[in-house]
Amino acid sequence: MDNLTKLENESIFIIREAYYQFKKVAMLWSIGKDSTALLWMVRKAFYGKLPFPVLHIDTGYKFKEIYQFRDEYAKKWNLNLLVHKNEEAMRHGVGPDKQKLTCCTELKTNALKDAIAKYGFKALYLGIRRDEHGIRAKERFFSPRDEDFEWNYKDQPPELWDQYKSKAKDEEHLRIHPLLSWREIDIWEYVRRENIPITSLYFAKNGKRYRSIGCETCCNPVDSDADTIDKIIEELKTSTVSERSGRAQDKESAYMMQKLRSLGYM
Amino acid sequence: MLFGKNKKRTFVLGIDGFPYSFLQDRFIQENMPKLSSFTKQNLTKRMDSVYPVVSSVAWTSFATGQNPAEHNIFGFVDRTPNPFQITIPTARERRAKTIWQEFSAQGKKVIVINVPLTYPPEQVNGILTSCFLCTDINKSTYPADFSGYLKEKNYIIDVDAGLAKENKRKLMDELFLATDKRFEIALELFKNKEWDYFQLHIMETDRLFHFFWNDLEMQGEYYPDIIKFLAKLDTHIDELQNKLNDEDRFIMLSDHGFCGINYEVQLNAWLKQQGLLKFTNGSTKLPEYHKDTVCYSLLPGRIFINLEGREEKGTVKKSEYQNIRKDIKNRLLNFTDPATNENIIDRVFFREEIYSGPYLDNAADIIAHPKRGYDLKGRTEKTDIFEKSHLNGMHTYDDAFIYAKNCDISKIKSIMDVKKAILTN
Repeated sequence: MDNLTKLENESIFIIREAYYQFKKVAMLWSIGKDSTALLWMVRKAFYGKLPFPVLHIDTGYKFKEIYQFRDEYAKKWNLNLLVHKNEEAMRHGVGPDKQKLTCCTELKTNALKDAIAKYGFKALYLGIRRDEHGIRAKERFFSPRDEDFEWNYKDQPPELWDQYKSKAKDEEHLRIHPLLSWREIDIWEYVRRENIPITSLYFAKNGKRYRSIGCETCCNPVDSDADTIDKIIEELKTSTVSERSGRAQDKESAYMMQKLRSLGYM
Repeated sequence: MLFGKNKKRTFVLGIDGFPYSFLQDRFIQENMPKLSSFTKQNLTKRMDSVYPVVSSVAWTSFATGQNPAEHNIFGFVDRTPNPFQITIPTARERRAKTIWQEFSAQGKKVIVINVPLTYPPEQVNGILTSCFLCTDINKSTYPADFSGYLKEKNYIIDVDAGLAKENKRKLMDELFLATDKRFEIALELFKNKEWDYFQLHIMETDRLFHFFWNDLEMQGEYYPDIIKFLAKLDTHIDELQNKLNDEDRFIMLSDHGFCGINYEVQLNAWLKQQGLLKFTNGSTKLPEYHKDTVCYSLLPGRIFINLEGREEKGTVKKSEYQNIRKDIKNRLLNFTDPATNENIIDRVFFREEIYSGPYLDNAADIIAHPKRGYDLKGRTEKTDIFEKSHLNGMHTYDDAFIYAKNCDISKIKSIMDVKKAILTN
C-alpha cells in the first residue's frame, strides 16, 4: 500500500471510530489546506453525506478568498455549515490592531468555547498535524480538554498499539486529530492525487504565497514562485523555512511581547 | 560542630534596580531607617551591572556568575538571523548553571521566588516560582502543584504595567500588593520549609522607578505613596532579617541603578536617518527590512550588522565587517542631542571586547551604552528619534549595590562576581 493510502486509511478509521463513540460531534473547518483535506476524508468516510455539522469560527478578519471558498463549497458539498463569531467581543472592539493575544483569545478560543456550549458538542474533529509545531508533536489522536479548555499533555492516554481512549468525562470534550501523522508534503500530494479544490491563496502571485493561513491581519506570505501544486511539492522538498513562519507569534510569546511592550522593553 | 546543626544558610534578597547612590542618600536614611542601619553594620558596596543593562541579563549573570557569551542571555528580546525572527529568550535559552542548580546538585534545599528569567520553571531540589514572563500562574512553579498554594494566597506574578498609561493609582496599589504577597509567602516558606539557599526577588522597585521616577525627583503627586512604599519595604526587610540566625549569610543586592530620562532615543530611527537601515513597500516591521540594510538595532543599544552568510537578507561582506563596525562606532560617538550638542552615546563596544564564551556569535556585533538620561529604544516604525513617554526612569550601569552579612564581598566588582563569593566563602 502506498504511503498516502496508508495515511488516508488511518485517518478514515479514526473519523469513523470517533463518530461511532460520540454522535454529538462537529468538524472544525478553517478552509485551509489541512482542514479541507480532512473534510475530503470525512466526506469519503460517510460516502459523501456528512452526519454532523461543519463549524467555522469566524473572527471577521479572514481573507475574502476564504469566505468565498467557504460559501461556494458549503453549497456544492451540501454541508451543514455553522458559522460562529464572538459577537460580543467584536462589539467591544476587540481586534488585532490592539492586543494580538486578547484578539486570538476572544475571537478564536472563546468563540469556540461558546460554540461548544451552545451546540453541546462532545467531540470536535481538527486538522492539526504533528509536524506543524513543537507543541503539536505531543498531541494524541484523541486528546481530551477539560472544562477550562486546558490540555494536560503530561497526563494523556498512551495510545499504544493503536488502542485509542475515545471516551471523555462528562465535563470534557475530546479533540479528534485524524491527520496527526500527515506531513505538510503528504497533504499536498494528497490534494494533487485526489484533485481537492484548494483556496488560491496558497499559490504564488508576484513572488509570494501563503503557506499557512490564519487571519489576514496576522499572517504573512512567504517568498515563493510556486504557482501550481507540483511546484509547491517541489518547493517543500528543499525548503528549510518552517511552515508557520508567516504566522504571528504563538500565544505564549504574544503574551510576553505584550508584557514587554507595557514595560517599554519592545 | 554537630552534623546538621549550625549549618550556614544563605538568604539572597534581590531588590531590582535599587541604586547604590540612593541607598547612601539622606532620603533613604530617613525613610528606610532599618535598611540604612544594616548597611552601616556590614559591608555595603557599589558594583557594576552588565551590558546591556537590563534585568534579564543582569540576574542571569548573577545566577550563573558568567558573562552573556557564556550564559546566552543578551536581552529581553532577541532575534534568530536566518530565517529572521524576533524571539523572546526564556530560561530555556540559558546555557550556564545557576546558583540554585549548584545547591540542588549538592543535595541542598533551595527556594527561589520571582527571579527574572526563571520561566519556564526548572527542576530544583525545592521550590521555584517563575518571574513576570510567566503567562499563567498554573504554569509558574516547580513542582507544578505548588502553584495551588500561590493561588490560595492570592499571589500575583506581576503588576499590570499597562496601567501606567491608564490608571497610575491602581498601578501603585498593585505595587504594594505584589510586594506584600512576595514577603508573605517568603516568610511562610522560610518558617515551614527546610532550606539552605533562599532567594526572594522584589521586582516592584524597578517598576516604581520606571513609572514614578519623576514623582520621586520632583516630589510629584505620588511622592507620599513612594515614601509609604519604601517604608513598607523597610519593615518587610527588617522582619526578614530578624528571622535569620546569626550565622546565616544574608545578601541584599540590586542589578542596576536608576536615573531620570531626558529622552527616549529611537536608535532604529537614527539608523534610518543615517541610511544604514532601510525599508521598502511602506512596511516598517523589522523582519521586513530591505536587503541593502547595513545594520539594525534591538533594545537597548544592540546593533547587528546585516552580514552576508549569517542574516537571512545579509548583504554586508565579511571582508567589510570590521571597517563597517568602526564606521558605525564613530557615528555613534558623534551622535548628539541637537538641543544641547551633548553626546548621547557614552561607550561603544565590539562584542568581543566585553563578552567571551561559546555563545559570542549570538551577541550583537556592537553594543552602545548611552549617557545618563538617554534611554535607547528599538522601535522601527518611528521617524522621530527623540521621544518622551510615560516611562520616566531608566537603568544605569555602575550604580548597583550589594550588602552582605557573613560573606566576604570585598573583591566583588560586578554582579557577575557574586555567585563565586557565595559559593567559596
